[in-house]
Amino acid sequence: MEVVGEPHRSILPCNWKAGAENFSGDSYHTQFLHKSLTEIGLTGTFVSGANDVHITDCSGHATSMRRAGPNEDVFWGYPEDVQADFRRSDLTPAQLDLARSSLNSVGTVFPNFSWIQIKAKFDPDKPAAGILSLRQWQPISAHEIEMWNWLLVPKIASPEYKKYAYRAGVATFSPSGNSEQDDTIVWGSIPRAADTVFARKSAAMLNYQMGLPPADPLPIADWPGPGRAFSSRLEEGVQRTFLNHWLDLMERA
Amino acid sequence: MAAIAITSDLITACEQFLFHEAATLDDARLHDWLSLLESDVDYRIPTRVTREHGALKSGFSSESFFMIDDFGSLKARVQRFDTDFAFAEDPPTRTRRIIGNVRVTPVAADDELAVKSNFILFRTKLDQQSQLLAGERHDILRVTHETFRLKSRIVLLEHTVLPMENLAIFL
Repeated sequence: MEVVGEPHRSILPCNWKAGAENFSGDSYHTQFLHKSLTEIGLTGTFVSGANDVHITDCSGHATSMRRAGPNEDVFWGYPEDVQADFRRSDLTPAQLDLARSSLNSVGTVFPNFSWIQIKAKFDPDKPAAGILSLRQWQPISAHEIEMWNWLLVPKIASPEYKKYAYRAGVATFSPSGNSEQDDTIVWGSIPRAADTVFARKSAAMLNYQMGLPPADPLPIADWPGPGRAFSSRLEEGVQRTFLNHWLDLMERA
Repeated sequence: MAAIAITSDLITACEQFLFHEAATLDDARLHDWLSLLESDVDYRIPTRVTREHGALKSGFSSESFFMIDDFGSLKARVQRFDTDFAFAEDPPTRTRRIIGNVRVTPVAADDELAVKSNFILFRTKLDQQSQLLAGERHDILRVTHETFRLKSRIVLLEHTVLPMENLAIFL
């Protein structure tokens, strides 16, 4: 993969944990927050698939993945000439199987570095392209961050594909991105809402119980990687992984 | 093919077009704004980095952009704001822009003009602090039947870091 040009940099009025937590795998905000994308055809309907994976309890790192069926070769939807160049022999059979079945993934490398690998469109009438976005959530203060966003494309892809995929990336995951515009607004409004008189008087708490017993999904018994993996993205173990690890480090300090 | 002769009437007409265009954006009449664009419009806002005095390379990127759009993707952005779920612009950003220093120069094509302008844009949202955006725009206007359409625009920002949480407005 190679970085295209220089990163986007922007100032967000939120705590650094907002982006990091969201990218840990907040998989169920998409159906509502990003409903505009499905309405105009920039994405298909957000669905929860049988092969989805949430990876939790991994030293603060967390990941959410959408996967195709076990016998489908998708490799994140990259073009065939790009797929043909993958050095498959460098991977273990389990890693290769994971790469082969991957549709998209989003995750946070604790504490403030994240990625999203996704197929995106800039025009509902044109095909989607695979794009990788890397994020640094750089704190300025408790209430402000500078966000760095690098967009990456496959190094061996054709110049036309790289430009096309970059456009899809900018139109989706950048300060002007049709998806990102709505995410960053919410990250700024959460602390504002939490600091209101109403929130104080009603002792409002955010609920992070999704996926806890007795409604917890079963872990995947033979998961080859680190952490605990669940075959559902409709749970909040990923966010709890990120926040609990942060709390442990703060209390230890 | 002969370049268009630049007259003071023509310069005034170009200015009036840019002022009218700015009003459609400040008034959030985005479909009216789309109607001012050519169907093959090329719209770009390159990213910028700080470079030392005398640097051989421009601070403006030729590869990376805050926006890089054609008519189809601009229309998709406007259609998104038409839905009930574009939370970035609901409630909408308030903007007021001043367009000035308009410079009109001929180009080789007999139906096009190169128009440069400067802008200062005041932006505010909810009860938040306001931001100012400043920059220069390099436009190509296509002239047909006494009217103008925007054929291309490159927005050259004074900013290396976007001073706000998103870019959900057009410049």
